[in-house]
Amino acid sequence: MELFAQQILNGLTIGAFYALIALGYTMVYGILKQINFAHGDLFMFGAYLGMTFLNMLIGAGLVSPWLIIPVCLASMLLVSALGLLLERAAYRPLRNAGRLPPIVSTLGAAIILQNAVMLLYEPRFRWYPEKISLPAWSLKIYSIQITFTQLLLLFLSFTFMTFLYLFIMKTKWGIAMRAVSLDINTAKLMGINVNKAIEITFIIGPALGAAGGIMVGLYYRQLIFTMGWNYGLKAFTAAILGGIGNVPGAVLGGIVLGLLESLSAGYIASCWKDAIAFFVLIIILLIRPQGILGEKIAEKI
Amino acid sequence: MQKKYSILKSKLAIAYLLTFILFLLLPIVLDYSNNPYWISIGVNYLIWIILGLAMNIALGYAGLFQLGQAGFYAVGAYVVAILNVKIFTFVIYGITFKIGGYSFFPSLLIALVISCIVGYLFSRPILRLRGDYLCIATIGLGEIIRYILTNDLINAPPGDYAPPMKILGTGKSLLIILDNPVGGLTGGPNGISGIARPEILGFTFDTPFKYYYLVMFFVLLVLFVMKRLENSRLGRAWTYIREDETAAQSMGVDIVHYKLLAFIISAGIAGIAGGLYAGRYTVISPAPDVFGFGASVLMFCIVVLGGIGSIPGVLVGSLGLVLLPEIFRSFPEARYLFVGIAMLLMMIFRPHGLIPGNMLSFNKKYCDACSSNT
Amino acid sequence: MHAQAILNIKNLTKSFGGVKAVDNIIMSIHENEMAGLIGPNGAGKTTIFNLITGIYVPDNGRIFLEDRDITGVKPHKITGLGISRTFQTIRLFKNLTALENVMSGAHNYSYSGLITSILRTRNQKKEEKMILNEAYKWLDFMNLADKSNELAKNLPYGIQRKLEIARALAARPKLLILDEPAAGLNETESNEIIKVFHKIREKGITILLIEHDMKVVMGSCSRIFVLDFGSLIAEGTPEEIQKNDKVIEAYLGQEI
Repeated sequence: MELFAQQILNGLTIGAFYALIALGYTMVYGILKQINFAHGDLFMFGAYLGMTFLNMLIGAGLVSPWLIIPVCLASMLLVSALGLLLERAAYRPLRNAGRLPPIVSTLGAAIILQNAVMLLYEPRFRWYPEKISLPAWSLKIYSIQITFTQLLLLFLSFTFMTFLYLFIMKTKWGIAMRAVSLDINTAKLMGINVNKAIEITFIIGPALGAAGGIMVGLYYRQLIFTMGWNYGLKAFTAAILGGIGNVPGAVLGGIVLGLLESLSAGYIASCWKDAIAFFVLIIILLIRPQGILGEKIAEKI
Repeated sequence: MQKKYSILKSKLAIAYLLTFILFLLLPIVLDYSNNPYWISIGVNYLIWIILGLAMNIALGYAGLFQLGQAGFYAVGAYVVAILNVKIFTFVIYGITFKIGGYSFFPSLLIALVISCIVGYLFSRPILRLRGDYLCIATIGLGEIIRYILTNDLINAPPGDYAPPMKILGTGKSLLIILDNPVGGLTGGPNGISGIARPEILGFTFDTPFKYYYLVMFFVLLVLFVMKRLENSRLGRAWTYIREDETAAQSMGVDIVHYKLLAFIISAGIAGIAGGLYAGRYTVISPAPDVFGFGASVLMFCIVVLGGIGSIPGVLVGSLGLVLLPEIFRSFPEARYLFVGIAMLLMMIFRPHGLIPGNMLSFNKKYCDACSSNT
Repeated sequence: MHAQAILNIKNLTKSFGGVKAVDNIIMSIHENEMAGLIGPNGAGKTTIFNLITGIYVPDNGRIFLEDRDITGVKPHKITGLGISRTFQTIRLFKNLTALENVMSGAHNYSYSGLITSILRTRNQKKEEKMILNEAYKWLDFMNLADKSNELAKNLPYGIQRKLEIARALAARPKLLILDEPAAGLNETESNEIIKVFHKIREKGITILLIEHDMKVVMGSCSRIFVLDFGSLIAEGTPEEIQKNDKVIEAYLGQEI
């Protein structure tokens, strides 16, 4: 029972990371019907940027956990600029080129990002600065330990997701994005600035990815330039699991995947957790290809 | 009109012939100029051509969005390695026989068969998924294969010696014993080493120079099969499915059957490439960029960069993706950066690939027919 | 009556999410006739086609081709049994030539597979020749011989419509099902298509047609079925249909 509760908690934390990254995938897929293979590396880049900024501030003699807030915002800003650049370079020129070319162009962008980071930061593990860490305070309920870091990360993830949800449901641009995702041509005819809606998607998604990157950095403390693939693949799985194109679905999918992984790591073997996650993904695809929250779309013949 | 096509046809034939001669002479020139390193790059290139051609069947012809292809590549390599290095004793209803310790070529044949079987088992349940969903399912399955190899299904005993180990069955009807369990079955993250080099009638393919021609033989074999299939009822059925599944089935094409065939043939060819890889390097391990998602991505890119459904495209596409990092070897750190930039730029300026399949969709049979018909 | 019916539809019902798209339809198409299926948008016409060709499985009811029950048979098998079709929105193989498109029709009566294709056996070669001849025959029949080497996507709209019919004919159907073949065609083109219908019938092929262009329907069909909200509201000759009160009501304000 203890193990179970502890694994549930760990799963929720990992799931929150996956959910944050999955939002970027699901938004791009929703609007362009394309998988953004570079998204995982945008997330990775955000994690590295956060580390750099923290090191810079420490170098300037500033040491305080509060610094995480401006650092996070600055990294989100820079990564969303990169996201915009990605849209301009890898998507916009290929919008009418069919399904496959954008996959290769985003894979190319992913390779560029990965290798750029490898060159800038050397191909080895890097660590988040020890001087800046969150309070080591932790809460103990019965025998389950909840750290402050976990609580904060969970809180931040859900805050970001709530804001995104409100943005998409309530604001003018959110409505525009939903319109474009339903039918890009009709949206264009209705006078919606399609390019701008797509750009907003490429600002928000990478920004959330960067936030996720910094949280992963703060939680695990350790970074490697190839981490984008792994997290990206998992987050994408989460997006599919929840129903791709569906924002609450991505959150749900992330959490389900996180729980699944930590439970199989706890009860089966941690070396099989990834294989089990993929296995469940395939089962879900077969039983309910539209995902947990997705709606079934019948093809018109 | 007739003239124009016969010129096109002969030009194409000449281009193929020149390419063939170039491939044939390349190692001789490199050997003469004492460039063994480049000969091994050449071997690598040829193996990637086979992988690209295999991918071209699934993705290029049948339009199957496949990103788990490296799984079959791994199966081929591991079957060759295991059959070569390990020996199993089977007891089935009292009949005892041994399997394993085989030399390269019999192992390769079995690897082909097993890759096809895995291809079938792998694709059968996910066949009805379309587009991106199929893509994700294949990524998942490819990764599952890699995890199975990495985690090893049996617990390898410690030390340098271990007695034969029971791996399956109870003894009455079926019993499988692994005679030499040191290092486990797939060797876990370390993989398998000490794989014998291919040998036929006392001739061993032990240098890159010799190996080059062995792989080239298989490239030609696969090319022959693909050329034949391209202009056949089977090849056309694949392209109909790629173009429009609903219309294809309305024209009487059994899409389940033909998609399965595409998966199986593609898996078998990738399995051969895996076996050739094992024989070339004599060491294999389940690294993600060799037998994992990274490798599948590379195969995918070879086909799209070269031009979907185009055989010359595969030759050019794999040349680019295998040679480009080598050309930039003087910047060892940054070489893959150039690959990424090339991929991005290529798609922006030539989204349909270097040699699009359409350009060559005109084939000689149709020429003969239209000249006799008009 | 039963003996000369090529297609018999009995109590066919199909619902989508609680809405009955096709409700208890009884229809019978006679051999070598040209029947029309008309009705307002959303009346369930295309759903009936998709049920006949096996793309949908009916909730209830049976479909017979001649005396054979084809309910629930897979679409590709139905083609082999003698029904082929065109689509409301053109579904050609866009990146293939006109010839290759029509060659797909021969798929259901040719047999070479993996091994014979690799070995290129004598039978395989013979079959390939047969497929080509057949394809050229139907291209010629539709006056498209000069377009044989053009990619389908590069052909003008009217030609694409005709090419789709050629492809369906190459499947050697007993019953040809056409889903709005005249949609988007101009006056000359739709007149031409009416002539094509007569030519097809001379070949002994039965036609079932969905069409919105009343001139085409009235000018070519011998019997018309009228569908409204998934139910059959009338059946008869063009003259009878034009006078039918229910039909006039369904098409309120429209000239028939």
